[in-house]
Amino acid sequence: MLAVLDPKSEGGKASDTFIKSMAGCTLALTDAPCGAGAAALAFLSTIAELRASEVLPRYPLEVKFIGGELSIHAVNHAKKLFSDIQSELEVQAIFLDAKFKEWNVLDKLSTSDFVKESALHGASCSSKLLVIANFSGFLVKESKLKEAQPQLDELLRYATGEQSLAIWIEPDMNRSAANGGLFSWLYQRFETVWRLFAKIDPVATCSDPVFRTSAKFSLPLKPTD
Amino acid sequence: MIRAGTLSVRAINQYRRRDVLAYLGLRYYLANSAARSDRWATEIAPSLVLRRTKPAYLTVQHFKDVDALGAVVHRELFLPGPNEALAEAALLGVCSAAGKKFVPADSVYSYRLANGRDVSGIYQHYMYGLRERHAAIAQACRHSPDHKVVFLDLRRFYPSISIRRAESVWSRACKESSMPTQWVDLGAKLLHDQGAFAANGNRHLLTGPMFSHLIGNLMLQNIDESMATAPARYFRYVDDITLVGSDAEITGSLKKLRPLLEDVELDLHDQDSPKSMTVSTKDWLRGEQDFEGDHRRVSWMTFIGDLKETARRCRTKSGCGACCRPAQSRARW
Repeated sequence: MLAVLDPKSEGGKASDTFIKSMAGCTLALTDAPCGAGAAALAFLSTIAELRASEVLPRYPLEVKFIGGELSIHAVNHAKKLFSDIQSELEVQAIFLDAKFKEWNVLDKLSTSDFVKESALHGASCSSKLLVIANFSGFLVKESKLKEAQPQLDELLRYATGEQSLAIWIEPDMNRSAANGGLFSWLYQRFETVWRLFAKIDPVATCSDPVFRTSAKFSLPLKPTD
Repeated sequence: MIRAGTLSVRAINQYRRRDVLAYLGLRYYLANSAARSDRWATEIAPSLVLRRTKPAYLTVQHFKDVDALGAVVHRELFLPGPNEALAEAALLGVCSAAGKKFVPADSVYSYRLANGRDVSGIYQHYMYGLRERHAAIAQACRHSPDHKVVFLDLRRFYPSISIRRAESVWSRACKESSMPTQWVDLGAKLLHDQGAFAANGNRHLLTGPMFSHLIGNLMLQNIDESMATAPARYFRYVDDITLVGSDAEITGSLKKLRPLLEDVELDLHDQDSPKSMTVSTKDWLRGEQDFEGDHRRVSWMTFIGDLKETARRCRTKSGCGACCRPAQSRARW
């Protein structure tokens, strides 16, 4: 929600990217790893709320969603949440066709299957959005980045081309944002193997290649004063 | 609260004069605050048009005429949805800024693009062009007291323009006016969608979208330029062509005009058609003052004010003078 709304205008082009992709027509939305679907559900429900609040027009939006996830328990939970929210989204002219597929970022074959399935599911769509959220725990904390690298390359290659976008969101923690963290690795990939299909924002640097933003909220049981 | 941008106000002011449903559609769309900004009109609305797979135009019937048998004749219009109307406003705003080929010849008085801070519409208000044409014809008549004024009308102007020709004139004008690629693509997409929507596989320009008027002007641009050197004076307002000159000059101009129109598959109504008319310049000058005495700024407010005044007069003994006669004479009708 913070990335979509970006109330302090600190998130670079992330907010605009979401708004443009989700303004209407058909969107192939890939969330990998999707976990229980929190990232995609947060984006879709935020857009629906902006439409309900008469901020964004209710231009018909057809979303072909595919979530890739290894945990079957997380996928079952995601399926229920997507089913629960579907009718609310339709009131705001957002029509969701959700699909889930088992995906292991450490497995080449599994990644190829997932990318192929994503392409097929979203074949009729006029734009493509790949979302990667909250992956640093597994990739950095559990030191799986090197092993996952070829598969991540393939996944990000899928998000190239006309009307295609990719957004990677992580909590503002050392393992993602600090020099040598996940985003430094991303920056280096953009400078080397991905330079043919991606450009680095001139504002970003190797030591600080990310946009940071934050918002405060009050816990319901904690007194505010 | 996001302040309404120039483009959304232009779009809504233009379409309120076109059709009530198109206007209401825009009102609903622009009730959403983000959609009112120029940024939405220039970035999001065009992107949605470019990405859509199915064009949608609302087909409506507008009153056109009453025929010789007393039957009402309608004109079929195709109205774009509010998102396309906004994208059109942005595209035509870029055309206006580009100038060059998008500026019609001096002899053309219709559909001149709004520019700068003008928010009265996507195009300048039609009354300005009508008045200017009237004044220009009056001046030509005064210079030629014993000559003639010939009014001509193009047969089925917009439906006669094939999408193939429209695409060609659009592409040429963009090239000569150095239009940025994304706007060239948007215009091409609008034309493609119009063609896809047209009935019976007859891919022609639709009457209704504001973009069609620009294409109409571009279509006749070479003819307008050629006719500047024709023997009779030449004036054009959409598909109405007026020639002022002697018999010989008018014959010479018609001889030049007809093949030029044929080259682009356009045709004039026959001379015995009620749409064609010839009067002497002397007779025409009797109506010279037709537009005098009304120099108020043309706006929605003045239009509503005029309607109210007409309705008020209709209820009084004096009548409005337009649709009804004074009350005491009604009994004799």
